[in-house]
Amino acid sequence: MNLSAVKKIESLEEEEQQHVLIKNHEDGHLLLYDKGDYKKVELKPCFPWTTPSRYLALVNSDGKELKFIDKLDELDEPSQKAVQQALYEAGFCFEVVKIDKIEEEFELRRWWVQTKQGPRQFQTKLMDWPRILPNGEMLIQDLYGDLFHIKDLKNSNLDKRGLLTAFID
Amino acid sequence: MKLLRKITTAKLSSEEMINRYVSQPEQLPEELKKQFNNESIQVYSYVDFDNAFNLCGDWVILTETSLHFASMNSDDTFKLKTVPRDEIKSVKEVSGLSANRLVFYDSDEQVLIVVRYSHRQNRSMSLIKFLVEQENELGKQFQLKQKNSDETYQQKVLTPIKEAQASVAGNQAAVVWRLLGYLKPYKKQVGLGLVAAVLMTIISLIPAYLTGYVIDDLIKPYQSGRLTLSEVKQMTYVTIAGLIAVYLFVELFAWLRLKTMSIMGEWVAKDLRDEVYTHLHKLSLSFFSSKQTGSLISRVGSDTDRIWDFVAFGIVEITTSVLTLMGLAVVLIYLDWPLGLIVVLPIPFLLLAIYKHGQNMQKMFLKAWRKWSALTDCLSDTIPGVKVVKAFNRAKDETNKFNQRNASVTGEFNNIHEVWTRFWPVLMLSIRLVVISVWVFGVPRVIEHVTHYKETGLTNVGLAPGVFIAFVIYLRMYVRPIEVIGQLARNITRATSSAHRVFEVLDTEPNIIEVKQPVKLEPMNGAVKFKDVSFSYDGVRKILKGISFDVKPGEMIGLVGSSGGGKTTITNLMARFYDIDSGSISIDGVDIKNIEMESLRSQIGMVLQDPYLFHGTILDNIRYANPEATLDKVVEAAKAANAHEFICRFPHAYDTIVGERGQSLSGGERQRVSIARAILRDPKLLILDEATSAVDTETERKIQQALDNLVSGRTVFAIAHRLSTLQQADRLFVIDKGQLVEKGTHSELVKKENGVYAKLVKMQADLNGNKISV
Repeated sequence: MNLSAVKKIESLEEEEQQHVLIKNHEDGHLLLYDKGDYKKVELKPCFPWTTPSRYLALVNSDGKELKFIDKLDELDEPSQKAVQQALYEAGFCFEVVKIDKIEEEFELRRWWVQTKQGPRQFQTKLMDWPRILPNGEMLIQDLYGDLFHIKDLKNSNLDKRGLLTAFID
Repeated sequence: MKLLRKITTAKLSSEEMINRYVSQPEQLPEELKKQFNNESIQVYSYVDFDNAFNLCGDWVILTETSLHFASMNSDDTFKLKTVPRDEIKSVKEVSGLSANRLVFYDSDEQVLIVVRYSHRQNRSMSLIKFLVEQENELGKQFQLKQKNSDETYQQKVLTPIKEAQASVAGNQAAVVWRLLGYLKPYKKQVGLGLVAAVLMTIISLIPAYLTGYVIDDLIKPYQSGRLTLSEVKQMTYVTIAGLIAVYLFVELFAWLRLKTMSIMGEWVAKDLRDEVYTHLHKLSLSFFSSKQTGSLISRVGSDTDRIWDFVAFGIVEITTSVLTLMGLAVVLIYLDWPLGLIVVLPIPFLLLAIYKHGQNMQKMFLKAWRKWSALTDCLSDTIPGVKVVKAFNRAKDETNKFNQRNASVTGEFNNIHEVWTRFWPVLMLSIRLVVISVWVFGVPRVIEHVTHYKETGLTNVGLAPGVFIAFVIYLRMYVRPIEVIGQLARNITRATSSAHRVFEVLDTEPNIIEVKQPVKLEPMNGAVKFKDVSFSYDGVRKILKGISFDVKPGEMIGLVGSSGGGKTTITNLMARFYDIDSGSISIDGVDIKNIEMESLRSQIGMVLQDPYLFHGTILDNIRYANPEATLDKVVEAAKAANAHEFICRFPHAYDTIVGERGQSLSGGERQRVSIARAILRDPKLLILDEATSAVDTETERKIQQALDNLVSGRTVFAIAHRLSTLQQADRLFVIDKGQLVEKGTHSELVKKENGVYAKLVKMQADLNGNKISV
């Protein structure tokens, strides 16, 4: 390796140190500082339910992984903030706080719930059962693929009429 | 029947469905529409998330000239952000678990508009993206089949609901009414069954009455000396004879009812099965691709069976139960109204208790059902995958998992048994309470009656002992009808769900319709012409974009190109499995839409990559193409297909049962049987879709030889990824992204610099380490 090449690498490293590694873009993407330039990447959590804030892949538009984040605390603080924001969007789903009504009709189960985002009505197929996650939380996927997350099944305000009984072991 | 069908299929309108299931606006608000008076709205979508992922009521609207983002203000007015369409150079869609993002960029990759939405809006958002991209790609606006933007929006939002549920979400009464329409051809049997049931119910009320009669009108007068022994004996014999006659008639009518209704129920179920199966074969392929096979099979099988149960027993049982209860009420109140009321008044409460119990049990059954389904998942997962279980030595873990789930299911069913075994004694105790009340209020009155009778010889005071005993006997009859009526709602729901599913099939109209006076092509010459043909399966994504070609009779055409390019679609359209969106397809100069379907399909032969053989013998499968073919012809076809030798090696030769889907044969053997089938068909137009792709080289050679025998003298369209198999084609059509990008002979195309075909040949040669001769 010649001297100019070494100098080029050194200057690149210095430049990288001056830049925040990951930051948010106004279109919702993340910008990853890579080889002297910011590149648009998407955040892909590898285990969105098992351990949502670890094992995060940053991939470009071709799906190629440009960076793998094992733990968030390995990043500088601004980068952590940027990733956390992207993590929220990537892992966003409706958070159910109250079950108002569950009814069955021909081939459909209809749910009326209150979510943190507002009231919502959705449907599932009769044979599509809610999924109990390893941490005991409940996840319901509706006909469109939207997810409804129940974090605290023991919350007394969640299901006063015992409508979820059939779906909990 | 037509009227009944009309009643049941009075579907909810799209607006009503959106209100009922989706709770979002059924169309773009009028206030917004007014703002686009001068622009024609192509499509629009609801935007249900704001930037902080709170639910909101924004809209994104694509007109012929611009893209508008209408965000809702706090006072329910809208603020518009408008971008001319020619400024939008790209669109990117990013999907999250439940939140998606659509970003519109200008030529400098600067963000123009960002919208966030749930999966519920995916389809309408994807359509907006598709239209913008099509304009950028083709330089002109893509015209949708559906012109009305409201309909497009509603259709996109409702598709998942319609697919999941069915198109006939009619009301329950209408469904029962329509179901009863199937009894019309069996009016006599229904009449006989119902009359028998009614007579049985009425007559079965007589024995209790006779018991009372014997006590009050025979024994009591005999005791008081008003009747002589001989008179009493005579009247008793008459009464006993009457009782025998009553029991004989009860059983006679019970037999008549059961026999008539069971047999008639079977005929109704048979009619339904015939109708559904016949109708299924009239439906287009698109219907089958939108439904699961298991679901369709259950409609012909278990659903019609449930309907039989309802027709044969349910209707009569409900009718007789209602009649029994009404009859009991009338008789008891007639016999003694105060005691009658004691018996009749608790009936509504008992019905309510059974209904509530039923609801509770339904919840418990749901839980048990869920656990049962987890248990069967275990089986359906591990039994087909037993090799993997063994290879990874996980049998113990799998057994533990099964045991846990099994214990859980058993626990749940035991809970159910706990509840119902607790409920019924309580219910029976309540009924016993009614009986005790009858005793409590009845016995003193009986004593009063007897005393008064002893003193005065008059019977007008208190309660006659015979009436009291009749009451006690009548009370035994009143449990079963209460039980049946209490479970009425559940049974009707079960039957109407099945009926819904059956009627959905019957009410689906075939998409491919024959013209009134179709042209018969007999025989077909095999000239095929595509003129500017465009086609999409879902009405949105174009699979073929303006394909044109002209093929002479007897020509062999190789269709090549990357997967998903539209090659198989071209062959599907030739057989008119689907109708095209625009352009025309003609065979021998006649538009395919004007050709009689039978004459078209009877002259087309298909050999597919994964040949489908039916359960039956090899002979049956080869003859499937022509059931009248002689055995000589069958052997001749098998020899031409290089199948005769391997068939003769089986102990049962041509009479060998191939098993379900031909499982007992290897892939290459199945393929050669399917070629023999095609040869026996003697088609004028032959379609070979990847016929040799899934077999080893030796088998491929044999199949290729068989195909060489098959192709001569016919128009052939052959699809193959292994280009070496297409070298004998007269011409090759290279299909890429729905367009015909190159056509010519192998040697012409391979010489084209930067040609798609030349690249494919080179890639395959590199991959195989050998070269295809140029």
